[in-house]
Amino acid sequence: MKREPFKTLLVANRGEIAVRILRGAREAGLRTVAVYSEADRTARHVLEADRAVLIGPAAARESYLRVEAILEAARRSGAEAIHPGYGFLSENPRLAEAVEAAGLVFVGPPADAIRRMGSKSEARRLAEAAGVPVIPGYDGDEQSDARLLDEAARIGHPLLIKPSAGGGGKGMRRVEAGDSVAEALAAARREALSAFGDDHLILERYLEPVRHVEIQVFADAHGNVIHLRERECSIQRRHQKVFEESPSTALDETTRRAMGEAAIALTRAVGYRSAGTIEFVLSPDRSFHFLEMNTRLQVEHPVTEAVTGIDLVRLQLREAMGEPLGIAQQLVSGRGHAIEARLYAEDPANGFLPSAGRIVLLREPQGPGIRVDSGIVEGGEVGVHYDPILAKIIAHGDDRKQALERLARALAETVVFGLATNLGFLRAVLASERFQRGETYTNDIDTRFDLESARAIPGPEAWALAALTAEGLAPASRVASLSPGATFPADPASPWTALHGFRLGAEN
Amino acid sequence: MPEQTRAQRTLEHAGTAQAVELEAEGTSATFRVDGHGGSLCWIEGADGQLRVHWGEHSTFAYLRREGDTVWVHLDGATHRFTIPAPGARPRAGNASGPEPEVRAPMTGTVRRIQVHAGQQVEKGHPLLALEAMKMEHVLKAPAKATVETILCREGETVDLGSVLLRLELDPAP
Repeated sequence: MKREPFKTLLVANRGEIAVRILRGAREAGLRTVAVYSEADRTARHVLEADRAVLIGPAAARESYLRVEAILEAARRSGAEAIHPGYGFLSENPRLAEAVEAAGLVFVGPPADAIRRMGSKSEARRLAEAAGVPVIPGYDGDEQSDARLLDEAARIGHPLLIKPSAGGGGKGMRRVEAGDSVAEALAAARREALSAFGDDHLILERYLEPVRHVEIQVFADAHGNVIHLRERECSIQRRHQKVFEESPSTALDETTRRAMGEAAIALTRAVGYRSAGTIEFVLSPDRSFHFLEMNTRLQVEHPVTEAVTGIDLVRLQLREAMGEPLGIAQQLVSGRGHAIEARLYAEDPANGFLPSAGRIVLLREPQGPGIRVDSGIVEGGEVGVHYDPILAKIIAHGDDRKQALERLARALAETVVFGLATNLGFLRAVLASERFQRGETYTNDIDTRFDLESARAIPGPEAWALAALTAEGLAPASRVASLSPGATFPADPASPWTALHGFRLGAEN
Repeated sequence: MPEQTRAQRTLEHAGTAQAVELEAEGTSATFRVDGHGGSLCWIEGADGQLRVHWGEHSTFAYLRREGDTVWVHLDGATHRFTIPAPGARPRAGNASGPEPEVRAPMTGTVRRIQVHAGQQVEKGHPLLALEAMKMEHVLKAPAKATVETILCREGETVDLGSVLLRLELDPAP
């Protein structure tokens, strides 16, 4: 895979992660190119780049998910390297291959590593071969009913059936003692085929209670591989992470070292480059098992950046230019404690369904130990087409207690008017005794937190202020004057014939 | 001397309506809501932030009215109130049973319509699938019913709360 210095970087993503990568690229002195769909003409990431190219209509499969559109945008804008961010095409080996074939640099792992880790059965086999503990299960190619039923009986209950091509918990099925395994297998096959076009299944023992602990790894083209400690991501809601922190309250130094060594062994085995994450489940007896590898920069990477002091995006850019890592394992240490909360456009009072609307007031928190990675602006529209993540709020402190205090202060200072968000829910989980004690397991939010209590009940003063505002008797907060529907110079011609975008700054 | 203003205003929050009596003068006001009376005063900052005081309590606030919605951020929590249209009765809660109008529970795109007008459906029968932010949400029949009219099209983007189809509910047995 091509590794050489470049001067212009295209970021094939949107939202907060595009903004974060564009900032890193600007710090490195690179020219930056953003891509955007018709729904994102005035989006924050578009304004962060030196140049922006329209790549298609709002629907992601006609814009951010089109490999050809991304490559065409790179050609038009003279970009020599492409960073995929997370989601969209980041774990699609076709993008990595196409970038390579076009003679450009892909800021990420080799296509082959993406493909092999994208298959859950092959990832399991690779891990086993590298001496990494895997959950007792079956990952073979023989997929006959008889064989799978035999293996299921051997593994025992509770059993987890997973599509080999899946990810993010999609299409997984849990089978309890007494349930029909044959029926579950048939249903899982149908689902896997319709969702992923591949009905290959793997079987695993369903372990619980478990914590979700992941190791950040980094590899260069010169054979150097390091790990950058762990992130604890146990607080999830329906397989969606909500809080992530480092260090994990459940790891001792011995387990941390063993997990780190296992992660490095697997990273080497798959011929990895750039930033990646190896996910493990950790049981109460401190045994751990390989779950999967994410072959991209993670949403929660700022947590690692805070505790290690290492900028992962800058490191990715350097690695992509062919430079050696330059950081020995023994120089990676953790300072203090960091925790991230994900701000989502979803409504806890409405079954956590996505919400949409124009942001009429936005105040992001600041101050000691607080970092905000945000993809939204006041006056901007939050649509229904993409992932509901709006921003991430990361707190860093000398210890867990201080990090939690800082995060609580920052969440109370965060104001989003115009659409429902999960802010109240984040505050309630953070304030809960279980969370404060650090005793968190992956099924906690679904089973142990009282979601009703997450609803803030307005007191008489809130009613009074609302009535004063309705009557025009209290000063309503002013809002930035981006009129609804304001647009930036748009391409006059069809996006399919002229992908020339517009320019900002001194280039024109 | 600032003028004294008296007002009464009814607002809704999470389906509950309350009448608030106000007496405002400059940057302070007394109020009565739900049998509770009190007073508060405020200082306005440059970016619209308020410092609000009542009794021994002091906190910051943001306030904004946007059409018939009033946003209040107070004591770290955000509340959304709505101003009921004149003459409107408060919306019935779940206790009153299934509604004949099927409304969009979120803003999204209609992916599939799984019924046709005139079709009889049992309780729980999938009616249509909405998609937003990569999430699919299937709306199901709240009770045994006949589909009366379909008011949306596949591929159409619909707003939160808009009526997607109308059912004729079977009389309860």
